[in-house]
Amino acid sequence: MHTILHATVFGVLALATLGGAVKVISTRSIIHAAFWLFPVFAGIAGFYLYLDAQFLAAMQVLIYIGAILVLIVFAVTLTRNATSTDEAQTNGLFIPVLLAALVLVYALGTTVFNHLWPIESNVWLDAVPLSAAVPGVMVTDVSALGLVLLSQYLLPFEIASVLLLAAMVGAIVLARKERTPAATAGVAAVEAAPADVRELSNV
Amino acid sequence: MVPFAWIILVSILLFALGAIALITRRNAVAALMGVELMLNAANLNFVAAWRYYYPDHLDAQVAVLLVITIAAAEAAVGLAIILNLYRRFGTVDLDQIRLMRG
Amino acid sequence: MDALRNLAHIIWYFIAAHEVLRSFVVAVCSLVFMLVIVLIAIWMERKVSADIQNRIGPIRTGGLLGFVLQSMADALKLLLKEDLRPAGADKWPFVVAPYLVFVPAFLVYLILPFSATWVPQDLKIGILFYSAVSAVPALGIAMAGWSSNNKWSLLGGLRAAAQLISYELPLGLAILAVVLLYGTLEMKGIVAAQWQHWWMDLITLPALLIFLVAGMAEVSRAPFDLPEAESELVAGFNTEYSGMRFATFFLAEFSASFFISALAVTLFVGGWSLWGVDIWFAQHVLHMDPSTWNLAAPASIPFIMKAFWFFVFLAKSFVVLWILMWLKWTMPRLRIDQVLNFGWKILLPAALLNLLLVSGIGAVLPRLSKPLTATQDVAPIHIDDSVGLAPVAQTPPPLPPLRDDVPAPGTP
Repeated sequence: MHTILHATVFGVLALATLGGAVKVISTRSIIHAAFWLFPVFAGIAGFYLYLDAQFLAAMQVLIYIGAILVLIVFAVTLTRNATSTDEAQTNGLFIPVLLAALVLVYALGTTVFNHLWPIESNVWLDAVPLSAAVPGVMVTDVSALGLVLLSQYLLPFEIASVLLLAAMVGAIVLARKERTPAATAGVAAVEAAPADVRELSNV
Repeated sequence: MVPFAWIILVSILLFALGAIALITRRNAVAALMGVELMLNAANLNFVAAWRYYYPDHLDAQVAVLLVITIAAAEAAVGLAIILNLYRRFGTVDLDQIRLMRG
Repeated sequence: MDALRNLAHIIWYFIAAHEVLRSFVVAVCSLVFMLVIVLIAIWMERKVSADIQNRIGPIRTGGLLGFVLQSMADALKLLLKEDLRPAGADKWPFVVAPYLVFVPAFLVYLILPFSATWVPQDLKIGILFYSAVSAVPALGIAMAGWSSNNKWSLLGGLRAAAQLISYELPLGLAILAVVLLYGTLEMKGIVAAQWQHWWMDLITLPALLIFLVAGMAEVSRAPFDLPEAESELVAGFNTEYSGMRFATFFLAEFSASFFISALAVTLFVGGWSLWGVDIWFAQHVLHMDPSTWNLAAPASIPFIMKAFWFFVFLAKSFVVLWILMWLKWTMPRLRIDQVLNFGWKILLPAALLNLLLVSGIGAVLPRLSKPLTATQDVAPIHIDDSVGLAPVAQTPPPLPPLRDDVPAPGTP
């Protein structure tokens, strides 16, 4: 009963993740590919929940689905005239890359299955007990994460925040519409016009 | 819990699918989606290894958190670049955008 | 009669013992609760708007029971309407989109503390669950806007997504101020803190204002109802939706409005507690002994008090909902650039400033996290200040038991 439950949960999550990913690479419509990312991200969040990483699951949903995915949908909508679904969506490399990917999966898969893990990797386990990260704080608590982020991992944390700031400034600079000379001239003309004309043009 | 290797297998397949999307898709946004798939696969690996083998360490969760942060930054900058490309070339087809100078 | 009660007990224990079953039952109960609340909220909205516009509002259906029957009649009408799908619509996103908006709107009810010890699912990440789940509807709305194959819908969908993302930041920062002050993410702990120190609500008053403004934008109610501004966009992202699919959007909107009110009450206005009046009442009128009450042991609190607190919570939530409706029906609609400018240039800096202020106050106040955790059933979190900047868990942890056919790590 217990095993069936776990296998079902795993099966649903794996199906959502991998099925979504297959659709992402195979669907012709780019906006559908973006929508199919939803089951992938949600499935990964489900895996985090299954693996007792509640905080990471929340972050996955918040950032991947709530921010990145919406951003991607925005980008697709703004560039929607760029690609029609009639032409080929992949370049000529599809078959060789598919073969290379199969080789990669085989190599990584055999490595994982043959590696001598501390506990055998292909057996069913009872729940591995979680323990305290520091006395009194469970490893799954958010406070434990905050504690390490601000002590042991302070430098990476600060670098990440600087990176975010840089990315924000960079994205704004890149995405801002450049003012063409004509538009600037138009604004200047409006500003130079007499007040009553300006009022009219502002309406 | 399900065997460790099962979860790693999902992660490997996800990584491979992401790589395929990144290399073969002509649309730049779709290539970016491939990158996101690969990052997710790596994150899943971290969390699984943490849960099964090092349940008393927090390093994996911190790593995943940083990866998610960087993914957000990457998506923002990447999509801004794609929008700029679209404005300049009228296309987001990676095979057609070959000029290094505008 | 006794046999019946025993049977009920047996069934309840069976449900409680099976975690999956329990979750299912809890989810169904939350869904039913949400639907009932929404029925009342829709009727209330119609009555409040009528009152503000000097009308009478719906009076034909149901008589005294109109507050439930009127909305039921509305829902029935929508159910019977033809479910249209435009010929040019993108098929499956058009079908999926309403659920992506509706399911999160219902899921968030799982973490609401309705009364002391009455929490459907007491999650450790608590309020973060709300932040995460409430990010999903933006995608659903963008999906609805895209798939309708209608330029008003597309514009409405994009506007909604931009607005939701923009206002999520001040909303999250206002919540963060509360989390910082009380030192816990758990909804139970946050309310318990306010129950014990009711004056803490005064410190979070500015955060409440920011939360309410951002929350109104988050559920796209006037003056922030840009996504469905009928004078500009027909009906925004749900222009092409009819019948039951439209009802799903409608339901989600009202459910989210009530939830925002309930969350504001929970985080900033003391949740189910009544600022000490409840304890005074219990002590002096009902002659109970509140000192024996322990939130960690549900049995120690009399049922009558829990029920009382439940009604206090509902009453407070409906008062806040009424204030939101009042604002909605008296405010003109903003322009989209005004909405985005206000969010990024005024509300976000204000939220950051408030966060700074609250963290300053939190640093001055004695640590409140210790008495709070005593009310929870988990071990209290002691953050030893001597840990400071020292690396956590310096000693390598013992590895899990090794397989006997593998050399231990480190041995040749």
